[in-house]
Amino acid sequence: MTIKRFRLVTQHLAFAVLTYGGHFKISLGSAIPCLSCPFIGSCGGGCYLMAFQRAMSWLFLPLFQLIDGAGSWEQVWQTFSYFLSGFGIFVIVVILFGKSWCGWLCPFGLLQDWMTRLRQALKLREAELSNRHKRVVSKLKYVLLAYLIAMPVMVSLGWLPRDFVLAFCNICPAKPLMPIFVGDFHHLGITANGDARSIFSILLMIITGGMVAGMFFKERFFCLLCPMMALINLLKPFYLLKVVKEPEACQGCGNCRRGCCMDNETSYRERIKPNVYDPDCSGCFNCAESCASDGSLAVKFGPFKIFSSSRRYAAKLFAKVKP
Amino acid sequence: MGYKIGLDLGSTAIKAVLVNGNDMAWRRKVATAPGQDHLAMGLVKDALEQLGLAEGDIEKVSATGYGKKLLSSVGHTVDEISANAQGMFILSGGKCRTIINIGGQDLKVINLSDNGKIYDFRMNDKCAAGTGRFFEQVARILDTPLELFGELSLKADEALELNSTCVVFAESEIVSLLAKGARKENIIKGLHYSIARRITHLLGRQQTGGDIYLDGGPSQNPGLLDALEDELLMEVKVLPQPQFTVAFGAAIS
Amino acid sequence: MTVTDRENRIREKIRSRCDEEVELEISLLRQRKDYFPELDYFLDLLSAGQSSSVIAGRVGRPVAALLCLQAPLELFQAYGLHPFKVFGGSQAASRLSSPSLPAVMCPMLRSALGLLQLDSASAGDSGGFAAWVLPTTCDWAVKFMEMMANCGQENRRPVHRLELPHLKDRDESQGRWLEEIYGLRNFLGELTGRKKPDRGALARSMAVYQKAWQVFTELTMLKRAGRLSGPWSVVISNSFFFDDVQKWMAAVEATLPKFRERPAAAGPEVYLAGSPVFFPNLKIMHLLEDAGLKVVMDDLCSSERLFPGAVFFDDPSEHGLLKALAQRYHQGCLCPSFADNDRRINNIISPSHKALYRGVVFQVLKGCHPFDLESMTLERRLKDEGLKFIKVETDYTSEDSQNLLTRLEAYRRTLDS
Repeated sequence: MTIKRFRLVTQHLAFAVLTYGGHFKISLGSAIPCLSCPFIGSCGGGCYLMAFQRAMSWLFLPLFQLIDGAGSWEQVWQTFSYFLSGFGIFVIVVILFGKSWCGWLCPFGLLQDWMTRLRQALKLREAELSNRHKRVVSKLKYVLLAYLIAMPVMVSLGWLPRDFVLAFCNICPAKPLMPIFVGDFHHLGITANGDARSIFSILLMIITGGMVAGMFFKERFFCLLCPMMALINLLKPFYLLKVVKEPEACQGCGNCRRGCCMDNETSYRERIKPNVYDPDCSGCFNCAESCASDGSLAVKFGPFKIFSSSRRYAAKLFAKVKP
Repeated sequence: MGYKIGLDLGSTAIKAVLVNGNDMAWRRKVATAPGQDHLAMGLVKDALEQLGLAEGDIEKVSATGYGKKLLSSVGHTVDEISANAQGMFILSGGKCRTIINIGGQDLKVINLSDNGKIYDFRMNDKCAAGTGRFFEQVARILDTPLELFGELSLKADEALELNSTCVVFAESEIVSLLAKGARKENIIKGLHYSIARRITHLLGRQQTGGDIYLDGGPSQNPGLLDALEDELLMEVKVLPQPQFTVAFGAAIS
Repeated sequence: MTVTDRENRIREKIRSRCDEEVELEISLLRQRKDYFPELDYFLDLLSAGQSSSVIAGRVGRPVAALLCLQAPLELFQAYGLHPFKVFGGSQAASRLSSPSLPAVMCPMLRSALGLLQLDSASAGDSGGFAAWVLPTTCDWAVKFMEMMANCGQENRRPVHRLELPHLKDRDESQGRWLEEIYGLRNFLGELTGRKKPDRGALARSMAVYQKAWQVFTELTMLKRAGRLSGPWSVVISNSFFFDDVQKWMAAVEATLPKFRERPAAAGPEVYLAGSPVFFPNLKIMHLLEDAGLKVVMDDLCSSERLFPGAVFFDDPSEHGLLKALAQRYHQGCLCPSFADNDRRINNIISPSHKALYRGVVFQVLKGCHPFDLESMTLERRLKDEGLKFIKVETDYTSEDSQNLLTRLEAYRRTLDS
């Protein structure tokens, strides 16, 4: 079985578990490092961003109280250690699978892949983003991360209403789109109350519309902006699962770059370092799989090489390509 | 028992040595002529006769040089670069690190490692410039025996610049120099320098650590040795029997 | 242009010399111990010669001549053309073109120009190539049409030049090359009257070449294992352009089990780099064998780099396919005519880290400047790594065989130690 096929199967299994798992009493907690939307009623494990935003709305309260002269250090520590119990799980699972959460397990990622498949089936040309523009766009995910931390913190300071706790969820396209798969169209539409919620709902519809178009014409367009990816990136030095390169064996054919679902250049450009984990990498390993130079790109788990690119593997893979 | 014979079938001379252990017990050369097989076997016969040995005393006969494949009766052949390296390393007492070999129609530079193995080598391509053939050609134009070249060049008062080491072009150059009344001695000295430059060029950026030895026929020419030392800016050594190192190397390999 | 009777006689004499060369080489190959009847297909293709009309008849469609492997073969196939890479390995044919060419020049193109003269004399206006596609790779390729004219050959066929950016890594040059590939597509469309882009035909053509590359990879692996000898490797890859790619592929597939049965050859493994080797001039391959050296890898554009293969794309639109082809043929190419070519040297060195070979033999055809220049870089880099390197400079004549053999034999000794 090719990695491609294995990944496709894994993605669908993960999608099933994370979307419908609730029906079968599966609960993987709320620290899942991918967009497994908790707005789905039968969600088998929630996107950590929601829990994280919630945590941001209370994490600093004891500290603020301490500054005001009330509360105690003990309370600060208690709150903080409670936060760590969730964040710790997130850290551990990220260290285990690194970026592959995005490419192998994220249900929203799979939705994007379906859209790409549709575009490919229609033989429509993929939109191109020049490197210069891509670099700018890809920075936006850190802005979004800052936004989803700042908003709930401001709520805890009393500067914003409670509607802003889930500031990111309110504009995340997964919120209206993913529940559709369980027949819930509830989040698709505009709430006309005239308060912050209705502003959010209008914003969300605009964003979702734009994203759907973007994701259709550009493979995994949302991933470029995803704050989860930004959060996972913070743990980059500790990943166990990663792609490494032997630059000397590279022929420079560019298969890795064309194969990359994020159109990253690092694996192609790198000429010295073995580490080619791009900040925008989604851990799909298309690069290693499409590389036809023996041993130039490899997938490692800790010290173990679990896949190494080879001419023979690539030859077999490409011979299967259907016109 | 224990005697070994080495035959070097070069393009200008066939050299034979008989080796006892690591000692060159006997040597002789004849000019190359058609029937090399016959000539070489004649040398073997001479060796046996002069030393009073029987064929059974010979452990093995090895051949090297361009003509090595022509010998039907010799089983063991060695390429001349390896034979040269081996022979020179032993004969120099393990001191040689660079060999400059001027053969009848080729020019070789061989680098040896500390254990006598070939480390690197260069060889001219099919052009005969700077080789023994070139010397012969010039000797013919100057109508002077080759053996006198060394002696004559030492009497020169200047080295005339010869622009070409090409056998064909050098001929016209020398003829015109003679016509202008240039001294033979100066032409010969110029010739030595032009060959020395060619060798230096062939040596290129190759390492020249350790002792440099010159061998092959023209190495008996002191004028060439002077020119070479001057161009290389290094001391160049010559063994007493520089024509037989390759045959010796073949015998002991 | 009128041809005098004398010129005709010279031409016929050279033609028979060329045939003799081919026959001699073919009989040498047939007498080899590792010959088996499945190889006849390739020998027959080569012995039928480089006649454009014969090839066109064989493949049953018009033949476009191309000079370098830089133009995507898949495009020709997609437009119902057969790509034929012009080459020359015949020493006899060089005599026809030599009087009108520089003294120091690429022997391959000198010979190719001679062969073309022979071909045009016999093919006339009715036969010949449908068009010429000339990527501007090395200087000789740039000046090809000019040299052809100097050799007295008028070309009445359409010519399309591809301007090859000599930098591979820059986005700008990759963009320019993609434009050139679009230009080639439009040219082929005009030529064949299929002006409407046909994505499906291109995708099918790419799939055919991918499959051929897979088969070729199996063959390459047999070379790595020492079961496919140097001369046969050249024969098989040289015949690639003489027939339809699918027929060639099937013939290669038929040889695979035979080569697998063969015992692995003895002798130290070497990497053959440098100028390409073309039939019937297999001199260097025979000499390497005589010296006991086993070629297990090469980076010659006449054999292992024959066609790039492994064209990955994740955008199956026509643009996506053309972009993938453009990038694969440009940035993945290891021809020494590029300026940013560190990867070429790396690719020669890196298999030695896995002990796949013991030394590098670098062949330079006299007059082939890009390879000659690069040999110095390679020598320096290899020696820094403690690897053995030998450069042999030669041409299509046979008089230096003995000299080369001596060198290769001594080189073999240095590999043993």
